[in-house]
Amino acid sequence: MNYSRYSKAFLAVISFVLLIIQVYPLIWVFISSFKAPTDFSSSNPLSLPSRFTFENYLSVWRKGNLGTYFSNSLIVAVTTIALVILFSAMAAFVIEKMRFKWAQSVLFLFLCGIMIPIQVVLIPLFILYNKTGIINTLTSLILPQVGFALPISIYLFVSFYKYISNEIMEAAVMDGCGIYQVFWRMIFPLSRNTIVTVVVMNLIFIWNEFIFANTFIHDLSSRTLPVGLMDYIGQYGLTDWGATYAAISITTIPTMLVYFIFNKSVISGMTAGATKG
Amino acid sequence: MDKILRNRKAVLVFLLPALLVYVFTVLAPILWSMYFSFFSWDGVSDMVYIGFANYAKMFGGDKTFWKAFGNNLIYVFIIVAMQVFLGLLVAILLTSITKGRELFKTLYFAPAIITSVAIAQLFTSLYSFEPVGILNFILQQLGLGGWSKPWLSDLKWALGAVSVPEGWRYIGLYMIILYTALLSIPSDIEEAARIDGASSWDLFWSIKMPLIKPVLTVSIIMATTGALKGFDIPYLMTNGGPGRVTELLPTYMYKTAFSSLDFGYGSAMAVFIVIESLIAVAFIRRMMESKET
Repeated sequence: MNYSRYSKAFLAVISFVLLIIQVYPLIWVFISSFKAPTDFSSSNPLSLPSRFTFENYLSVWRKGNLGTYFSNSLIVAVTTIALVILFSAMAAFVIEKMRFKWAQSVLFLFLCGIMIPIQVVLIPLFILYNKTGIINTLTSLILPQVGFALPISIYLFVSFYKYISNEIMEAAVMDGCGIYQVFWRMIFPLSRNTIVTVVVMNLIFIWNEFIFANTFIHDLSSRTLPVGLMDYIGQYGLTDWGATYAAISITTIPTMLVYFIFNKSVISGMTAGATKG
Repeated sequence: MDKILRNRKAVLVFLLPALLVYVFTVLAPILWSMYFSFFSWDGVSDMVYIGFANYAKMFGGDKTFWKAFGNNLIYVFIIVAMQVFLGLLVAILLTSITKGRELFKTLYFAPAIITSVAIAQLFTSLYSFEPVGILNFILQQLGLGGWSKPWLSDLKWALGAVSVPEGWRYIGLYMIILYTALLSIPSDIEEAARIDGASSWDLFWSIKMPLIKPVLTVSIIMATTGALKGFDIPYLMTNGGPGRVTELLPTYMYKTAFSSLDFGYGSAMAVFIVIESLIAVAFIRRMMESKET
């Protein structure tokens, strides 16, 4: 738009102020994680640490079960994402490329899932998992997360497969490829960019998942990071804020790294997921 | 070729894993929820069929349900206003600045990738009164110390205070969606309007807004349905309290099922949350369409 110089400067200032509101709290958590206990009783929460200390990180590591939570989160994330990629790429292949009468109905069925609130499945899954004995295991987190990640992942794969021409598949078949080879040797490797988008998008959702983890897991040993973070809230009526900020920072660093490396894929994945609903 | 693509066994091999997991973790549980909602059941003793009694209790006698429903509406309003209105504002600002757009976009979006547990803790300390949190500290510095209060335990302000974090974390998401929509408007439309003497405001209100309306509608629907199922942050920050002033339908449902072990009544509320979302979507579509004429 054509604005005068002054209104442009004005707009830049407003954008900047809003940016500070969006970003400063995150920076503040990180800075506060280096504060000494005495700094928290100071009357200025915006102040910098009087001296940078790693005590909070050490105490989180020594006292908490953060190591266990971290590895649980990692197991859940890796397994879930591997299954989501595999299942959704295969299903999308059938829907978009194979001649199959119900393809459009199946796609519709999957896309309905984007609209479904997680709350409605909590009670039935809790009961089912209790009966089958998988409650309190990481499996009880992996299964529903695969289920809820499938709709958008299938949608992303289907949109990509549309652009793969049938001729190159025909050429492969001429060369003697069967249907499984066409998929594994050709279609799947070709979808590398879509795979990256699906991985980073799901990684962030799964890493941060709270409701399933809070409902299906009661043992400390099977907890994931987000639920583990609650350890620091109001235990014994007191919150150890230094340790809390350190724990938040440790939890958030992996997603931040993934985000800053792949931010285009994260954003395109999340907005695609959003606008489809 | 055709024969290979019609291979029925391959269709099953490729499709079944996804379909099975999806049906058993997403679709079937909805039907089970509906079924459970007609029973009285604590999860241990026998299920007792009670017909529509759970629904009758929900709509008829349960004051907490209506309180939570009302709170939910306010919660939705605050979140939609923040996400769509502020998101649109930032998107417009972004189209007008020339340098650093990519950096701005990346940074604005950052809160969206943080777990709700961390966000709940972050805002709990921002709102804190003793020791003084950032919000109260800034108010004091501005000479508005009289306004500082323990936001989360203040009966009047607690609901607003638990709504803001959810709105805040996704402003960036809506900003990017709306920004993309604004960018996709062909520049010759803008130039033609300029030549006809349209002001920036005219240009925005009578040309850009109608052009991005479909995206705006989708954004409002997303923000609304997202806020209707809002759970994590209020549950973690106040757990519905003080009293019931921050109780939302999802938090009430959760407590009914998993703390009071009333699975039947909890399921009835879960079903209500789904229906409520569907009605909201239909309502927003209708409203946005009728505004056109």
